Amino acid sequence: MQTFCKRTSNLKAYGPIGMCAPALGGLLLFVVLPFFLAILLSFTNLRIGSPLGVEFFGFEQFKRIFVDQAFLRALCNNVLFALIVVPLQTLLALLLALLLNQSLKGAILFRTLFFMPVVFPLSLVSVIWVLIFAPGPNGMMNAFLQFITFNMWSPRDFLHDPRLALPAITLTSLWQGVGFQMVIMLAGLQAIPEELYEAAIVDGAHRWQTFWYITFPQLRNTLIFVVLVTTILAFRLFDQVQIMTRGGPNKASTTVMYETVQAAFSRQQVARGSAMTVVFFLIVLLLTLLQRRVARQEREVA
Amino acid sequence: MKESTPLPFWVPFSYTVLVLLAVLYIAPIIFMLVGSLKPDDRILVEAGSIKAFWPDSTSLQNYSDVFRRVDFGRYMFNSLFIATMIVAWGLVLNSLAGYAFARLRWRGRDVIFAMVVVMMIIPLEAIAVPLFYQVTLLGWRDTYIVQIVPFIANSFSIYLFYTFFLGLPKELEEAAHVDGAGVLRTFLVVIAPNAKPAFATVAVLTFLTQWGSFLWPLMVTTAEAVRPLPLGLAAFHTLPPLQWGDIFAFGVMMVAPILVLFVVFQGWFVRGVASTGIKG
Amino acid sequence: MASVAFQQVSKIYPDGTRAVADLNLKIDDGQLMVLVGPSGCGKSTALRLLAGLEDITEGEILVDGRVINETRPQERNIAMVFQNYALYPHMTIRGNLEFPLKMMKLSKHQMDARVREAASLLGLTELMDRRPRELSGGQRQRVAMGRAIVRNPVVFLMDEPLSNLDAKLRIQIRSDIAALQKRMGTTTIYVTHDQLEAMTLGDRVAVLRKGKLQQVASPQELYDNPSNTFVATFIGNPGMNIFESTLRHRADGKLCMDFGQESLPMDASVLKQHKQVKSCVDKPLLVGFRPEAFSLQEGSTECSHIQVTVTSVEPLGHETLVYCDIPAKASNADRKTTIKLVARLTGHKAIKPGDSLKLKVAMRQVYLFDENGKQRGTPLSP
Repeated sequence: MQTFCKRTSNLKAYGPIGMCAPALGGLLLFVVLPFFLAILLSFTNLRIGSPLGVEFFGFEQFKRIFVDQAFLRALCNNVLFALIVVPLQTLLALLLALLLNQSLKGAILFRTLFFMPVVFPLSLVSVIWVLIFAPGPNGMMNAFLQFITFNMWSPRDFLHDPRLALPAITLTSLWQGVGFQMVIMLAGLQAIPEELYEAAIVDGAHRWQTFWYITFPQLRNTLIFVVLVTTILAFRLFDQVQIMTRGGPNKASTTVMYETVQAAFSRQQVARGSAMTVVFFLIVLLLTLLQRRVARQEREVA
Repeated sequence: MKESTPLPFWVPFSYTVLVLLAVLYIAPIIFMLVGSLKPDDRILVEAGSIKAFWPDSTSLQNYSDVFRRVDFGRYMFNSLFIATMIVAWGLVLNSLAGYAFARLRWRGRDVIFAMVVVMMIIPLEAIAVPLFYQVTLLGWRDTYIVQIVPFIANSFSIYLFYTFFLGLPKELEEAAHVDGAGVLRTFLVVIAPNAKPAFATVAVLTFLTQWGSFLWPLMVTTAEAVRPLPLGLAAFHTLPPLQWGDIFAFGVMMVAPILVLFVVFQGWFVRGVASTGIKG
Repeated sequence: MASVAFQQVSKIYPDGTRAVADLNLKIDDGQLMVLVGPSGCGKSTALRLLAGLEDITEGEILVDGRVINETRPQERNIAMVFQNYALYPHMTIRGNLEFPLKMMKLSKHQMDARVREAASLLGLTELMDRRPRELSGGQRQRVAMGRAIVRNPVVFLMDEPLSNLDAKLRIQIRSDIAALQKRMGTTTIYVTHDQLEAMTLGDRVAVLRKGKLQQVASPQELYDNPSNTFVATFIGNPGMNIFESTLRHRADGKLCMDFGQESLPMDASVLKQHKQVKSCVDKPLLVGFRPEAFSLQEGSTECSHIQVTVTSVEPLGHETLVYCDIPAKASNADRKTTIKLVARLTGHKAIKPGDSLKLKVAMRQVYLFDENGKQRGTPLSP
């Protein structure tokens, strides 16, 4: 009896650990390790291929990147980008979700259509929009704007105009990303029990009131989640910048990730890139904690 | 029945807005599709007119040009291979881990799981640089391995599996245990076949993410032989002579597989994406 | 306070389903009317038509004499208690109770007064600042009632409000609801699938089946005088036993009732009670006996008795329910169960499945129905 129990308890220990080991191993090697490595490296002056050895640098890297015009501009751009994209995309997605939640005929068709751009790789999206933003009156965007402003618009070179480069990227991201948010919010809307609406109607609430008192509060957590994810994605902005503007003109559209890749990859400044990475992660962490705090209140049960 | 759903907006208004937006939304896609069928010189010229969406004549010339100018087949193969490998191995590893966290009891489980959950916040970009350095030291640059292995284990996938397994009735496993099945066999024979939605969701989301992977391959590969489609497109896009018809043809072929997958498995895609919101 | 009238009301869905078919029902001011029937009988639909949550296809609904077909639900001044309570999860209890008053645009002062009154009436005063998810099922139910009460509506609608509660709680709250309704005097329409609830609660009970009204009467009337076999089998726990049979005259002139191969004589007293018996002779009939009409046959007598085989027994302490197989053809209005006969015997009886029993049949308690189920004769009170 004793040995039998001992055997099964041994098996019990091996089983679960054995099952997680590969995955945990992978996470350890490829997520945890580089994460700490990033922090470590940001305190050094490592530069691949540099004749100088590696030495401890303290906070020097951080000081350097925060006086680097390009990096500061990048941070600024990311914040600006987030401030514009997040509300716009969320509102548009909410609008679409609300419209599609009405069980109209053909709702599925619309849903598929609006979600399709999400399936497109960002790199492809960028390439298409490069042409859309082509300069001159033949460029699609220029032609479109001329059309709807009754020829008051004069053609611009969007991607090479320091004031229009970031907005162009914003529009591209909007186009690609709205479907994603829309689908999440649609699911959130459909999770609201029908009965709540009925109770509200019987209690005397009219259309706008049901939206304000029922739909909106029930959607709160979904909204917060969607805002968070979009904001984090906004800070991860890279593909469009790499393909459409290369951060230009004159760093007008550079982003944190773009600068990071430039530093670490093009210039082999691994330590500097790591420092930027750490800053980036701290921002993401801050945003996530903020979301957790704001969302904590409403874990509702019908 | 939704007969009595309160409508915040009127029906004709809804349709108008939806159709308008739909047209604006599909324009770039049609533009690409049509452009891929037009001769190169006409694309730029006609981009500003309605002809951008309705070609005078169509031909598949651009498609053959693509194959002539670059090794498209190679890019396609790379993308397919890499994405499939990541998805396949990922399903195995992450589901096992998710199950171990959800249903088995062992020392340290809760602590380790909490850490896995925290890891979900860490985006690729936050570790790309040191990871880049790591793989350089390992000598993995310019290989398939470097594009596959780091992405197999994924904390978000583990979490999705975990949540799903939690929701399965305990009776299934209890019946299997009573019948004499060990942990692994229980998982293989009883749990996995009942977890199709979870597998489908994770597979779809992972494939979607990996198909468009751009930053990482850009950083760790220079040899065309192992580069996936997004990089191929970016390079092609700057390869002189700049022929937009060819570029669009490249784009169409690049997105075709995943678009087909999407249309066929639409339900899973949408459900998968939506379920990420439920977690929030 | 108002009267409610359904006049030839029908609800037909686009696919042709008739959820409610030609309903004619009048509920007097201050009455508690219970709509009862099996699932899918249209009782909830009828309620929702009155509330305005569904559109009326045909007919008119009147409240206090005014047709309300075109009135929006928000304007109908009708309160509803939902089966799953439908409490607003993101508001406190106070918020839930205040909500309808906010919609009515009452002043803060007025709202507070009404909310306080409803809260004390239902024992919710300590719970005012909690959220619905923190409350027990019974508490949530009371909040749902409170939300209906604060409005002082002209009609209360209750859609199976007790079905999510456990048995003991159900009994408690049932009597609370009855007392509350009497006290407030508001016209109330209560929907349930539980015939026991219907019988104990309602001033009047309307039995529905497949969208059609079967009978509307006081509970006792329904029990004593069911208008068809459906009502007879639905009301009562267990319901009436119904069999196919024929009345015929025996060679010696005595009137008998067929029971499978056997023939049960009906004595003169039975004939005196049933005025319509004469018109039912020699025609295919459905006869009904409530479970109480059977008793154990001891010894041999001249009384009508039948031979049955016991299939299962339910000893309930004060009585024993015996389920039997019989040689006659049973008819069940819904044909859902395969139970042939249920006998209710007083006290405890040592009976096992498989036993062969002789059951005495109290012939004077027979109910007669024509072959379509329509009632043709009832026993008069003893």
